Amino acid sequence: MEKLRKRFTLHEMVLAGAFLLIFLIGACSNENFLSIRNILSLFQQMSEMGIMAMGLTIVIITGGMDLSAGTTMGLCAVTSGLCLTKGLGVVPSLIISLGVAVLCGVMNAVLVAIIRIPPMIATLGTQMFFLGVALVLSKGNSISGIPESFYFLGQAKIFGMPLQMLLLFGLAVFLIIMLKNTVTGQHIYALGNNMKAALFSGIRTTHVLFYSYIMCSVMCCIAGNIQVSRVATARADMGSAFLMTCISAVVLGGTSINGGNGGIVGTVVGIMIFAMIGNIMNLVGISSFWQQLATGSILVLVVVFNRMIEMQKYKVKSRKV
Amino acid sequence: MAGKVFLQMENISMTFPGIKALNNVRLDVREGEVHALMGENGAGKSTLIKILSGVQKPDVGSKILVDEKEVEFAGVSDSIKHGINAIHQDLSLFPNLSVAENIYLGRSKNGKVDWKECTKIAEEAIEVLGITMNVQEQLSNLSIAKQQLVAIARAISFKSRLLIMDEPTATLSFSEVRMLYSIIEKLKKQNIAILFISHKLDEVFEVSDRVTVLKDGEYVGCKDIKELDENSLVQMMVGRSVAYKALNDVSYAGDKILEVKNLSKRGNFKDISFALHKGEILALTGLVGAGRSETVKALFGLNPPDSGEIYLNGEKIDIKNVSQAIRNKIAFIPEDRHEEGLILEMSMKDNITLPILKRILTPFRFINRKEVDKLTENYVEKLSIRPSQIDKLARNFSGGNQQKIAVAKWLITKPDILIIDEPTHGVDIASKTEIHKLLKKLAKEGMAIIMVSSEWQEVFALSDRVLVMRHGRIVHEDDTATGNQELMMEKAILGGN
Repeated sequence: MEKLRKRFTLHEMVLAGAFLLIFLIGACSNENFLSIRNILSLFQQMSEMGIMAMGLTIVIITGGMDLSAGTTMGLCAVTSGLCLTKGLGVVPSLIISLGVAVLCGVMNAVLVAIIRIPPMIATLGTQMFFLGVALVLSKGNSISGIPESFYFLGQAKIFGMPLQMLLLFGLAVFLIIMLKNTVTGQHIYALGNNMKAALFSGIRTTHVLFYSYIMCSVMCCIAGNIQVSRVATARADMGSAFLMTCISAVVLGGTSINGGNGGIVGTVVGIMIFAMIGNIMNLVGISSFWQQLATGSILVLVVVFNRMIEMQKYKVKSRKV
Repeated sequence: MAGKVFLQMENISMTFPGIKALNNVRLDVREGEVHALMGENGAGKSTLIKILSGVQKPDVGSKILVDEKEVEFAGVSDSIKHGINAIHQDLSLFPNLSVAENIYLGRSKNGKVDWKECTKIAEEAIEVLGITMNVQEQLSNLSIAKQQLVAIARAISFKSRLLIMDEPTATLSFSEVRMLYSIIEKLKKQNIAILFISHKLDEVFEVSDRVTVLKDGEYVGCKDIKELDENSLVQMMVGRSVAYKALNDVSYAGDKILEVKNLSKRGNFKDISFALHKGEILALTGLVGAGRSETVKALFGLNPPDSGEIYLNGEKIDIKNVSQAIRNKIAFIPEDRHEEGLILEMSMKDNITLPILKRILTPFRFINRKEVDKLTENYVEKLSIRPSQIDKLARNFSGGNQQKIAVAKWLITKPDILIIDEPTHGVDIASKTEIHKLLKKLAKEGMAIIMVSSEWQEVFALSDRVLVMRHGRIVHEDDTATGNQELMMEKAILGGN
């Protein structure tokens, strides 16, 4: 126990506990839960949300927020949908879609890092703006007729494993290394902890914020294209429903909403927990209304538990320290 | 003088996981006295105050008596009910409310605010202090000193019998400090006791009647101030006597390294010109608000000037941002360790290596963790930072050691010019001496140091030359060794000719 406590924080152990508990419930309640087919489809379903949540994690660690993540995903989806149906090749379409994502990220970063609007407000504005652009571009319709050559992203399997699952893990590994082992990663944490001290330490805070917001938008773009490929249509409101779940997963994973700590692994585990709950309930045949209730309670419970640990640690009676 | 005993604290102990913050500490305060509470950082002063103001609960067996009756403080409101009010360093007021609202807050009847009574109570409280102030003014429009008076007025309006003041003079200018002293005198006459926490010895000797000293969470003693002199008080605090003598035996000034010509920035500073030499400690002094910090921040790219020139080794340079300053081998250790100097929630090693991460990369452009550990351990040893756990969060070090971490963070960049703002602000006396010796040693090794300081003792003990600033201008320049100390102080306070 002592050894474990040194290696992991209490929150990490609680999260792992919650994960195992839900996993066990799944394994006991339905024999199909542990089948390879089910597990692979579980990953397939969570990839899009997982990738977006990882992007959000970076922005949230800087002490920021990207409420436009969902509509960025929608805009990128519509962009590549339009390009593909207008006869552009797969590669040029993807490049244009990525370009749009970078523009979205730059716009957020300009508002947050240069004009210094609080991230919540800035991205609340761009959220609607991006949705508006996507709606105008798509004339409010869903774009169908995506050529089959684009299906690989969301439907192909490599050695029997869905491509988007491999993408999820690949990106996760990349981001974990980026955050943990590179100067940029270290600067992201420093910035999230104390913007002023980071500036005084010679960190180019503006550069770091640009990097983070663009990274987040690019992640949304990847998620959007996977979904376009999987369902073979593109719609402006594609990612809108993802946003809150993704933020919840980031928080559940232990990233502080105030910035400065947390990480990718927690976020992925958080998304997995949400995905498993949905999956189990589907298998057992419980209505999706109960899914919301279950995910909500787990989030509240874990957050309350964290707060209790914190209060114990600092021996304070209330919020006042 | 010897009034009735108002408050007694006996056998006060406080245990945090792993640390015993207080061990059988006692304190008694009489009516109408100014009682100083002293001790180095980490001695347990803050914990004792938190217990006294009901923020924290002491261990079982601790006894608090008010008017010789045992009481228990379950929360802040309990201690206020017994006439104990704390004025914290951050004042804990509401900047967007008016003076009257700030004073009145917390006593509405049946959820309704009686605005007439609100104004009345506020005006009465202000009157007790013998000052004039428009109580309808929004608090954020007032100076820090005035806001502090509002905090005092608020405490008095609650029929306070004991005021706890935590480093009340830390953010005040010279004349404001005088005003605070006169108000303390007035409060004494009304039989209000004051528990005064301060790091500054001269202050304690000036205002207090008795002093209680804590050290490492233990009670050292309580003495009449008349029985003590500076040396014996320091001895009580540190456990040994520390000579506060001048260290500036020889001047090591070498080649000119930095020259500043006519540096100006509207509303900050004007026509600043000076030269800095290798191996020299140049003190920049003056009162709070004289433009000293603004000037040095300009040299570090944090506050770019409107006009003027900066020459480094004879070459004109531009410093538009911090990275340019670092590239020009300039380092800056800000005054506010918690907000500007350190990232408290990061480990000591991450803090120390933050400015130089780009210089210690592996061939794959990853951070070289081994190098991080090695460099940190190197500086931990050099500056004897305690405890020497490099993974410990910066938050968990004492003030003195935090300052050493801040110094290490910039020495690691191997600067030619080190700018340090209030090097020993809020640092205990033992660490103070260590930091002074370190600065002297660095200068001896050829580093050019600009030290911003408002402590005259520090300026005279350490610097080779002094620049006195007032209202954004340099009003006086002198050699420390041969200069006239009284003249320098006079220039800073009164300015003019």
